[in-house]
Amino acid sequence: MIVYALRRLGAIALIMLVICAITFAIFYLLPDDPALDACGKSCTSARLADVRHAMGLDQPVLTQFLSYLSGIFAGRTLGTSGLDCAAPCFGYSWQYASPVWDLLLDRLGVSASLAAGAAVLWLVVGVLLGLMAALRKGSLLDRGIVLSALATTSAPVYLIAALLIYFVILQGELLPFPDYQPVLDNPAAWVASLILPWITLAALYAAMYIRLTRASMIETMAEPYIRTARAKGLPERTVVVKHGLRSTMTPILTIFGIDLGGLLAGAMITETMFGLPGLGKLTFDAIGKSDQPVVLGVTLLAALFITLANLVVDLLYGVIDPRVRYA
Amino acid sequence: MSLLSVDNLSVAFGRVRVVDGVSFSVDRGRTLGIVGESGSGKSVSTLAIMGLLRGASVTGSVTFDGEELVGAPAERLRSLRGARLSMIFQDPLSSLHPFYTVGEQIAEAYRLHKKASRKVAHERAVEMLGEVGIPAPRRRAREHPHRFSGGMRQRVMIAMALACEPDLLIADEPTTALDVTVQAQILELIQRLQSEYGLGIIMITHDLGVVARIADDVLVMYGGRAAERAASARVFDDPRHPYTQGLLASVPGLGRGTEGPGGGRLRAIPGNPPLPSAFPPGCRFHPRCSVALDICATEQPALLGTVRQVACHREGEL
Amino acid sequence: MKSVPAALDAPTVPGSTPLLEVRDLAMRFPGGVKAVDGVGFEVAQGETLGLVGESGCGKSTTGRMIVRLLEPTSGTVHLNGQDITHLSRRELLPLRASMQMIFQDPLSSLNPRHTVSQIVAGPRRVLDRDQVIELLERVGLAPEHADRFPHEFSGGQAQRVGIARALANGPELIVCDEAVSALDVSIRAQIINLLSDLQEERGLAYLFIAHDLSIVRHVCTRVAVMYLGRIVEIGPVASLYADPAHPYTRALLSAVPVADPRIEAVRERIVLRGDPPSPAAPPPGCSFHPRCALAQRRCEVEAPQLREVRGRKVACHYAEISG
Ligand SMILES: Nc1ncnc2c1ncn2[C@@H]1O[C@H](COP(=O)(O)OP(=O)(O)OP(=O)(O)O)[C@@H](O)[C@H]1O
Ligand SMILES: Nc1ncnc2c1ncn2[C@@H]1O[C@H](COP(=O)(O)OP(=O)(O)O)[C@@H](O)[C@H]1O
Ligand code: SF4
Ligand code: SF4
Ligand SMILES: [Mg+2]
Ligand SMILES: [Mg+2]
Repeated sequence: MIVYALRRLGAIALIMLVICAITFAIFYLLPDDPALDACGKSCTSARLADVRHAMGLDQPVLTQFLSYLSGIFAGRTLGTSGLDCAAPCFGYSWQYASPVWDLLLDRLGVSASLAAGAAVLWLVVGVLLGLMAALRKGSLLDRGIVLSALATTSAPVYLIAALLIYFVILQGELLPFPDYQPVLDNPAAWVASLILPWITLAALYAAMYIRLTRASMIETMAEPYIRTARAKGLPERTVVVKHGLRSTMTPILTIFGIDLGGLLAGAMITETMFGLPGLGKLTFDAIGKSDQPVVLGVTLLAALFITLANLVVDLLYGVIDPRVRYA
Repeated sequence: MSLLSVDNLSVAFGRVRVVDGVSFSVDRGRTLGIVGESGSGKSVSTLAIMGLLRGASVTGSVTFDGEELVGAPAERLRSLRGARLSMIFQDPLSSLHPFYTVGEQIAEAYRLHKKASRKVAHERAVEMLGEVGIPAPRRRAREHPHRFSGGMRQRVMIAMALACEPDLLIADEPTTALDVTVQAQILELIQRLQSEYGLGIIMITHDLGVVARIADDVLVMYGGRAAERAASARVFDDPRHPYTQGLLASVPGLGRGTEGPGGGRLRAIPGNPPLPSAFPPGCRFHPRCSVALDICATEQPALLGTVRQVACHREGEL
Repeated sequence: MKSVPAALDAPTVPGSTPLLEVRDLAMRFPGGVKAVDGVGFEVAQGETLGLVGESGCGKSTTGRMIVRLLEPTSGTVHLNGQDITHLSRRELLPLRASMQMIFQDPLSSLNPRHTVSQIVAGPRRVLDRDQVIELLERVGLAPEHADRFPHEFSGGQAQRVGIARALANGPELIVCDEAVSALDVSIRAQIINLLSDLQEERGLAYLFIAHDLSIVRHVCTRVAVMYLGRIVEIGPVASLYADPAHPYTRALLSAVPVADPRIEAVRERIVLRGDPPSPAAPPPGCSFHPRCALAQRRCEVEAPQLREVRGRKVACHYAEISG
């Protein structure tokens, strides 16, 4: 299993390199010139050349790529500007006048808080409702749950967010507009600032998890080993929880890991709507301003999260399902 | 009094009645073989006895050790299942939970029904694994089902079914998925355990050879009804129902209906077994019966007789 | 299906070429599984050779190598004297017509999106519609079945479709891999009768892979018993069933339940210990020795070769004393 994990980690490193190269190439081919933004309004061509030189953009793309790579491990000085960027250096955002890594670290706390809270919420609600629907398959309750799940999935995130903001904050005045505080500084404000974003995200995912859990549970409960469990005289509760739920959770776990990995950098709309200074909002802003080092950094981070989440899920799979063993 | 007696049992799913008025009984230490083609209602009848059919309407009477089970509270049936009534199934792999060790799966029922501690129940599981002939039972008890071969898995199922020393074992095609050599092992095991525990057994199969080997009595089912019911020797020596006769003639190699080894044509029954949604009226076998009369198409023959019961209008004539 | 008088292990009239000749056929799957390990036999025109043995002993693999669904690791397959072992796909095309295979699970071996008439006519439409209908009627289906899809058929009917498809090209050899195993008893008898009628009409030869030994006895002229990738005994059905020479053959035969309680009550049974070992790690020497009641020291080190014993071929050091 350790060998397997190491092999997978090696593969992840390779994937990251490829993603890095591809993203880099895309930015190089884009017509946007970051130097133009950095140069400002009254930009002369002489000054533009200076800026390009200072940013290191006048060098061949391969050189730029290699110095980017080595910067991640050894740190580097950016262009000729004399700006020092310590390892791990993911480039420098001229927009924020800060190394990208610092920006990412700064925002990660917000995104992690958002993702973790929402995940707990949607997992609990999604799995519970999914189970209830599966166990009463065909009943009114089942149909109600399935229908509302369907409705929620087809509603866009911004609509849910907008409705919540309108009714809870503006009309109901039940909550102030989110003002994010780190959990350690002020737990109450942390919760207050995140509760609506949590609900927004959770609503979206819970709907999916309801359908997933329901389908998986219905399939499991039709397995012959469930009939065996009943033939043993186990109470229905034991049959469902001990024999049914464990198999049901396996496919859900897989998707959950990947969703969580993706969400860390992917809650763009939610963060933006609620003004949460997370990675998603960072990305949203960076794209708008063609802040390429930031976009590149977020892309890499997101890819890393997703691949790592995949690995963790696969390893957990081996723990849950004894038939899956890694050599 | 019989250990189990089933009287006029019917099972319907919605409007479709898949089992229609079946009666039989099993005594302690005896084996009833139920034969019939797929869809003839063998599994459904026995699942109904166990109270394991959900969404079906079950009527008639099932008396187990003097107690009526049809209409009994679900909780009462549950406490009998696994303790006094046990069942094993055709596909031993999918019938075992892939995520739990076989020891845990055997111990589970014992813990529940005998109120035993985890440790005692585990010991019981190890003992049962040894009893059904699994080598190194202590070590194997901690392994998961996928590490066992098909025959071993069926042994595990048997160990699980017998852990609480039940009175009745229902075996639903327990050897159909196994090789003949392994089938021989399993049948031998079942017979040994039967004499050890004094079990009553219902053996469901479509293999007439298996019935001949282990059954004392035979119930032949066709289209959800009993066609013939008698002691095994009678049924094989002198089958009376045209379906039973056809069934026996369809099995090659035993001189019955064939020229034995040396080939020739088998006396096959023409046509296909009926589906429950389209059971023919009258005698359900009549579209395939070579000796059918006009009355067969309209009137259902009753199951008549004492030592041997046959449901055929021409019983006694042929 | 006993149209050809049985010789010993070789069905052929001396001097003539057998329809199918398999020599030293071996298949090693990735991971070192020796699924088939040096199998050889012949099948004459119009003959039925049975291939029996426990699950996993390599019966299907052998069948699939013969019709070239699998590329053998070594050995040769001759059809009508022509070495077809290494023919390319294109060279094989004209021969495909003479060799067909039918499978255990009739439904899953038929393309669910094609109608029966498309399935039977084949991708190259070797038959026109009238011929398809004639063939369907021959295998016991009605003309209106031609436009239905496989899922609309019962198991027995689907197997009839599979047989019609196999017959379309006018084959000389059909490999039947457990072709009747999944069918109900009464339907199984119908299909066996159909196969044997067709054999008589068209002079077909069958390689009949099965685990039901009583059907094999009914259907076959000769039978080969496989154990862990090898043939351990091969010979005419009558003598092999009456007086099996290999200890495994005897155990196998004695395990088959007979549909007669009186015989069952008095019958001597050899119940084999244990399960068949894995072909990934076959025991040394005679691979049957861990389960053999006759095994001696010699059996653990020296693999027995097939040799002539009592009118058939047997791979056992002590075949003379057994039985
Ligand atoms: N593609 C494959 N890769 C690896 N091993 C294989 C493959 N196909 C078959 N085997 C192995 O080869 C051996 C022989 O398989 P084969 O299917 O020929 O058995 P069989 O005699 O037909 O058994 P059965 O009676 O179950 O059909 C088995 O151990 C099987 O697991
Ligand atoms: N849960 C169910 N709902 C509807 N029909 C069923 C159900 N279970 C079984 N049946 C039908 O009942 C008939 C008898 O089934 P079964 O007892 O399983 O046959 P077998 O004799 O092969 O064991 C079959 O036609 C089957 O399709
Ligand atoms: S009642 Fe009639 S149709 Fe039915 S088995 Fe008897 S003779 Fe045949
Ligand atoms: S060679 Fe030895 S082990 Fe093998 S079958 Fe013969 S007696 Fe048994
Ligand atoms: Mg059944
Ligand atoms: Mg096979």
